[in-house]
Amino acid sequence: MPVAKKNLIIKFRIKILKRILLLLSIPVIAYSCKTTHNKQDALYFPRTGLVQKDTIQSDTVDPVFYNPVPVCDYGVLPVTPVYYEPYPISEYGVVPPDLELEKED
Amino acid sequence: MKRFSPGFRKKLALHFHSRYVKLKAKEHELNYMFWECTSRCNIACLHCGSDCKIIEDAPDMPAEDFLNVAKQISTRYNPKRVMIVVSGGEPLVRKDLPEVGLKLKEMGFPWGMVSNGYAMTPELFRKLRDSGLRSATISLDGLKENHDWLRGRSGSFERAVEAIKLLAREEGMVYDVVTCVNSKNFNELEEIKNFLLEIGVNRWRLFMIDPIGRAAHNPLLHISDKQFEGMLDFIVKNRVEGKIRTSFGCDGFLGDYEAIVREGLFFCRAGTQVGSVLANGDIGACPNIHRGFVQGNIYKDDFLDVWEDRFKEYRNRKVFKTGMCRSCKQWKNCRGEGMHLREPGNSDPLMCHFQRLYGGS
Repeated sequence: MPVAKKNLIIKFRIKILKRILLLLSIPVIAYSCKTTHNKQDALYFPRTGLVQKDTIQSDTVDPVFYNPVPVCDYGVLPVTPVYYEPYPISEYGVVPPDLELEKED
Repeated sequence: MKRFSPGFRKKLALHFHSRYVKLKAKEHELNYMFWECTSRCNIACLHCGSDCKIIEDAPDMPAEDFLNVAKQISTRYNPKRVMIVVSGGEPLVRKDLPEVGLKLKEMGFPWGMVSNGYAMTPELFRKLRDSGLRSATISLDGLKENHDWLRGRSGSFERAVEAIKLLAREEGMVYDVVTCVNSKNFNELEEIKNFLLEIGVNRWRLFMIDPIGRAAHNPLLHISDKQFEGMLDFIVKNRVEGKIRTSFGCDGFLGDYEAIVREGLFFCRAGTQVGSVLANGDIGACPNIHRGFVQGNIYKDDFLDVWEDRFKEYRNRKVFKTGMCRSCKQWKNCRGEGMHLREPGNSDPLMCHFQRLYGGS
């Protein structure tokens, strides 16, 4: 089989598996959207007057088997969400600028 | 003794994930590239994985040499999808970092930096931002006493905090703070969390110090199995609380904690998606991986040829199915731990996270 065709098949299988992992994580995403409402009061620090940036996606104890893009804070789970290939986050590395890449996709 | 018995959903996820990992290894698309731009450092951490030294006059790799590699990479990969991570040593000791960063930016690479923050000033930060710095990680290993102890230089706490504040104030900056959990700072994790929240930090990564480099023989740097579990519980608690996005580092298969203390299931991406050019031109993956796994050198080899044709043991971890891993039931999920916990010729990993949590199960 030609190499290019083989690579295409590998990429296709990766995409399928990625979506399966995302599907298995879906309840997390729904729960995540709901809980964000409850956190707003925790973001202001009276002693320093600092307000924490309101850009954190909330996490839950439910497992996340794959890294989806952040789902909007007050929205619902998109029916056909656009997911990007996340960059690995390594101990000795940095958190990559995912938000801008998400737009490019 | 605790047993790992995942539920149906997790079992299914682990099954599909192990297939996913194999395919990613076959694909080996580079998208995270370290550049160990110097082996010089301005502090002397007790746990340094590189075992780097304060040597002010040690020669650095000429920037052009790394930029040539970056140019090569851009011929095969879309540079927008390859994150360049400048590390060291301490990258800020390199005076030409803004210029190199600007060239990377012009080529289209997003780039970030791992730093101890000691040499960061508002002026330098502005220069780096203008040169395209998109992401940064600063280490903070405790409150003043413990941070300065671990970092080996008095005043390093204040400097690190000032650097973190610069990042936190910067609009659009992607950053996080990392903390090496050890026996001395374990009991102040809650205080560190509150401190980080107060200075506006929203992402915090915790990890353990691996028994490598200088850290191998210092018991104060390591936590007990019980503390390890306590740290993971602390992360879970923070994630439920939702005030600060806390996660565990990339290390090891964690059984029941898997996918709830960090996003995704355990997957050591070294050599599969992560590559590096080390300070002497060696080609490898994460800079803390044993130098015995170096795959080539940019002064002798073509980087892309090495990336394409070598990295065999990185991509097919079966060579590590020896010693304690040979009969381990979690092999499919773990594949012999992270690469940085392997040593050539050693049949066992330097540490097994799963065993620490579950004993011999």
